[in-house]
Amino acid sequence: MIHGKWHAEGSAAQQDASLNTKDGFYELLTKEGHCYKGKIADLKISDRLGNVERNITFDDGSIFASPHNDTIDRLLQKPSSVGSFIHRIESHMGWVVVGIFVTALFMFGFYKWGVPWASEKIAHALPRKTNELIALNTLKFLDKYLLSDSKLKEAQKEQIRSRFFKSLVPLGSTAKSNNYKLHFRNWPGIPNALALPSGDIILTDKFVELCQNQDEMDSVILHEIGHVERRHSLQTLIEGTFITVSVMLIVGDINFLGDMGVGLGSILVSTAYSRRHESEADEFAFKKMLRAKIDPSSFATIMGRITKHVEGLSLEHKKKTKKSKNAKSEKTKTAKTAKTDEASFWDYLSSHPQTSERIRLANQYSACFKKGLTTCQIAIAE
Amino acid sequence: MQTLNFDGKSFEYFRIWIVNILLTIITFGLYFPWAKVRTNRYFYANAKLDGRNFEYHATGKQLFIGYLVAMGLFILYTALQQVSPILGLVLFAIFILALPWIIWRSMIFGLRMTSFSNVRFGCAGKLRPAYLNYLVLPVGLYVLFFGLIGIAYMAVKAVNSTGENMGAAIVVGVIMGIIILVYTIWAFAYLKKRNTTYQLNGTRYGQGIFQTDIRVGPLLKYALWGLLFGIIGQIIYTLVAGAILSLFVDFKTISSMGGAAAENPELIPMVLSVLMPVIVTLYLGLIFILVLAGSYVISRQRKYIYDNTKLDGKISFASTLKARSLAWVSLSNLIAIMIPLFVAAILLAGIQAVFGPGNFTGLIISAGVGLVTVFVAGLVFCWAKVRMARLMLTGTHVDTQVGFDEYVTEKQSQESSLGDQIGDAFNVDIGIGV
Repeated sequence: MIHGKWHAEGSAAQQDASLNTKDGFYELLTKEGHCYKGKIADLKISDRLGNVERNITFDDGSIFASPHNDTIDRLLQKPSSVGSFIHRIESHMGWVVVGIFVTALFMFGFYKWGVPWASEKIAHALPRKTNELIALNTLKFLDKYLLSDSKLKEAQKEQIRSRFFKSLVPLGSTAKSNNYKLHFRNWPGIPNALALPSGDIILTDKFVELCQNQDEMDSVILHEIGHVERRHSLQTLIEGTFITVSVMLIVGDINFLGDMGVGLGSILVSTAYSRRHESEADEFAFKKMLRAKIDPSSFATIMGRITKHVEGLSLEHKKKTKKSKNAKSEKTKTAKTAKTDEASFWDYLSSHPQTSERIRLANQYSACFKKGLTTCQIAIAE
Repeated sequence: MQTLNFDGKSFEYFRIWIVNILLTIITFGLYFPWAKVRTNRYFYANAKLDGRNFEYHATGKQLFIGYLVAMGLFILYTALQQVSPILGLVLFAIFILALPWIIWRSMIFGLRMTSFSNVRFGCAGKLRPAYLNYLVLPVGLYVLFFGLIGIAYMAVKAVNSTGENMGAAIVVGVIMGIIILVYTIWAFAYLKKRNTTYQLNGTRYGQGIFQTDIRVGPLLKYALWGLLFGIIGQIIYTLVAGAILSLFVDFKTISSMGGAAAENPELIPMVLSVLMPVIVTLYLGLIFILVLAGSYVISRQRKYIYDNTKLDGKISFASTLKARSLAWVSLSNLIAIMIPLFVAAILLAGIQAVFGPGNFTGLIISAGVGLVTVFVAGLVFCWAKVRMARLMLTGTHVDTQVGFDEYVTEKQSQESSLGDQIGDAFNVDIGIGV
């Protein structure tokens, strides 16, 4: 016998009722004498959920509500319904543990391989126009807020440009469909080369100045061409969309406090993707260099020089700081040791692979080059 | 007067939650509407008053189409926003224009899918007042805000036109500043009054009509006290925390390092690593004070609104939610959720540092840490949610002497879930809650 309450259709008034079962038939009797009879198989029973009250709905719209879930399951529940299956998963700790495992593994696989794979496929399936669309106005924006006109000599620019179009662009497989352009800009003190998805490649004066020979400059420009060919900007955009949407689905009902943790996680994941893109562009550059008979170690040399230059900038500044505060030099020292300790943690957050790792790879390719090979088999550690 | 109760259990909810996530993941998000239904059913059905309970009636099938359309819009929005910030702004403007409609549809759908003691709630609110309350008035008050700033600027300039009346200009500036601040708080209180009145007066229980009669004055009073507590608390906290921090951190070095980083972006991570403790301390303090002041305002305004709301003029309500319980539960929930995530982040970074990237043993251990984190953080999250639901419900009192027996469900048409699902996808908080 199942005890519960009976409501007429849509009515708040309730009366005690009890339901008896016998040989596949049921009989419900309410306190005020309402009576329902029929086959158990015809009953409409709501799905079990934890231990909340369940409703049995009769043909006239009246309901019988009872919290005695175990008795209902034993006497009435049809074993095959989807709802009861989900409840069975929920109520078995083993299944819950499996759930945690599958969830964690799936999430790991999804972010590690699924998202990059799908983003790459989608990025390459989209028409070229998309690339131009996302780069629209970017160069104008950079010119307005960050960059100024290059101070290099016309002759030097012309020489780099002709080398770019004659020798480097044709190395790419999509040279014809990508509308490459080379720009020179001044970004005071910053040695850098940038690639926009539209095929615009920007070299800063400081970068040109730091390059000691043509090979070094070629290696970096090839790296940038790699970004354009692999459509990395578009991939980044698609990856960002994936992360936002999937996070929203998984943690659907976490409030703003949870958002902070989720935000940090998203940053970690997207910087990992960014590192992967950098490594891909490096690899692209190395392979093309082998084919064009340029020593890949040039990349290592120029990267090392750029790093040294940037570190020099920071050191210079520290000296200034120290000079102004001799008395507190002790503390500055502590700050410096703290910095080296935390270096590995911040690498984790960095959008570029560790420079030492990139240089190591460049030298491996260089070894192939020295053997006179035009291809090179190297396993990249993730 | 009887208090509402919540019979949900943290662990029971955790099992529902984790299975929801599992099924959502392996169906690539398609299960989400059914997951939402299970969560809502669990929280509604465990909310009880006088031996009767609430129920959530929407089905996954009912939500599904609305959910698909809403997700499509959300994906489009996320992608386009990244393509061009200007396009993002245009889309945002469209969203703002649609917001009153979304809120209105969510209200109708949410109320009609809810029942108490077998009688459905309903919504009699109209679309036109929704546009007045959620678009015209907020935008108007916003424009007025900038108008006041303009007036303040001109007033200061007029007083100090010769450049000699610096003292008078400062006095005028401070007075105008206070006027603008009070205006802002008043504007929020006024909107709160409008929206609460719109939502509550539009709510039906069967044939029963909710009626609320609230004024701006008391809402404003609590908000101003809250602001005052917040400001004083923030000043005290900043002074104390600053004094303690200055024992460990050298602020002058930090500011000069900040200068270096501005010239040279590569230095930013290094500066951040030194700045992090300072930022975290100040940020945590801000949250701490915000929760304290916010809890005061929320609990007092809630009490005032409940005291002045009746169902059919005979069933009255009361709120006994205390500011300090709300603050305590909010803060301890926050800290409890942060701890496992924080510990996991440190452990993962540590493993990375010890084993180096790409090391197999390191990966296995990281995976283990990830698993345990999902388990612990999920458990704590569910515990926090159940705890908060219990606090809010037990702080709600209803006069049950008249009883609910005479109430019956009104005839209602089928409702589309589209607005409700868009509201969900874009995280619109319509602020209905018991």
